Amino acid sequence: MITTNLDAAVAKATAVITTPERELCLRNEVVFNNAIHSHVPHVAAEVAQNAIEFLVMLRTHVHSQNHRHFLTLANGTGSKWFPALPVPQITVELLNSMEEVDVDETIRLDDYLSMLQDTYPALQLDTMLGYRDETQEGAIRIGEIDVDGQSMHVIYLPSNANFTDLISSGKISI
Amino acid sequence: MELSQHLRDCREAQIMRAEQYFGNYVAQLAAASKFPSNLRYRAISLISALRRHVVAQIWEHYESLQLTGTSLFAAEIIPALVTSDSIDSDPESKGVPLNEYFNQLSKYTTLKTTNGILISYKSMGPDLDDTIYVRHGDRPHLHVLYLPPVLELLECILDGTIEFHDGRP
Repeated sequence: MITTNLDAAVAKATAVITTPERELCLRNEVVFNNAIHSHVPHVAAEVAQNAIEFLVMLRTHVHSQNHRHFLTLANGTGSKWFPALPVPQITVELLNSMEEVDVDETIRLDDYLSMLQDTYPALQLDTMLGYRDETQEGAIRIGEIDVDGQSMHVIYLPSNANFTDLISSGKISI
Repeated sequence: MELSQHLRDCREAQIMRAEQYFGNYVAQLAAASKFPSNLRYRAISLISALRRHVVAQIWEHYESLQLTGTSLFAAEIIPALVTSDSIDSDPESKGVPLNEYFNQLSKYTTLKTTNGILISYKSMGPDLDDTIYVRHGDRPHLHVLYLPPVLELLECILDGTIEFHDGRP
């Protein structure tokens, strides 16, 4: 019975997404799970829950964007959503300090989301479009890296203490 | 000793699979807005501690395999969601509640991963299917951790069927 259930679940999960998408998805899962977990013990329950809800929405956006990226690739040169260019694949990194991020080489998450919306109007950004960042340089920034000759966008998440402080003070919100 | 490529691949696949289960579970907990945020935070705290234990136990299992050719102590363990198909009426194969599983693990004194993580976990539910339980998988040294549906877990914490402390302040 267990064999049947587990095998069926794994087969279903692997059948609907490609291997590269699965690898990227699972790598991102580790980072998001680390971020979610590491927020739990240090702050009040209300703030921790807000931070977790935010991370879960960001996680949903990242998985959705990657799914559309690989779907477009699988369809050849384009699809009805993205006729010329696939939406960029995206990954996430959890930082110890924002000092690790080069401001000149990155952009703010809110600017990134606006650019995505302008370039890919059919890309559904329902949850993340409500994102508001009142900080000067942006609490969450996006960079670009080269992976095997392909461009990949990277979300740099701030350190735990900074992140929960920003949420509890209302400087970033959904 | 360097872990062989085959074992490393197996370990990575199991850990990645566990991450996906826990990620989806936490996402559902965070979205269960009919429950107060304090309760959802408690449940996420439990799931986070379980995730930490599962990943560490999988890690130690493969280290042990590499050193001895067999698993010295902890079986590898993967999470799954309770479904009607996974509830077996045969008492021999029903598995054990999570707290009993941790008691059994405690005989492996070299296994560090259980220390201080879920040591105070208790379930007062009359049946396994309304709590967290563990049973053997489809091959030796594979244990499966069955999690109840998200709303049921929240109800169990709310009504005190499940009590726990993850060992941290």
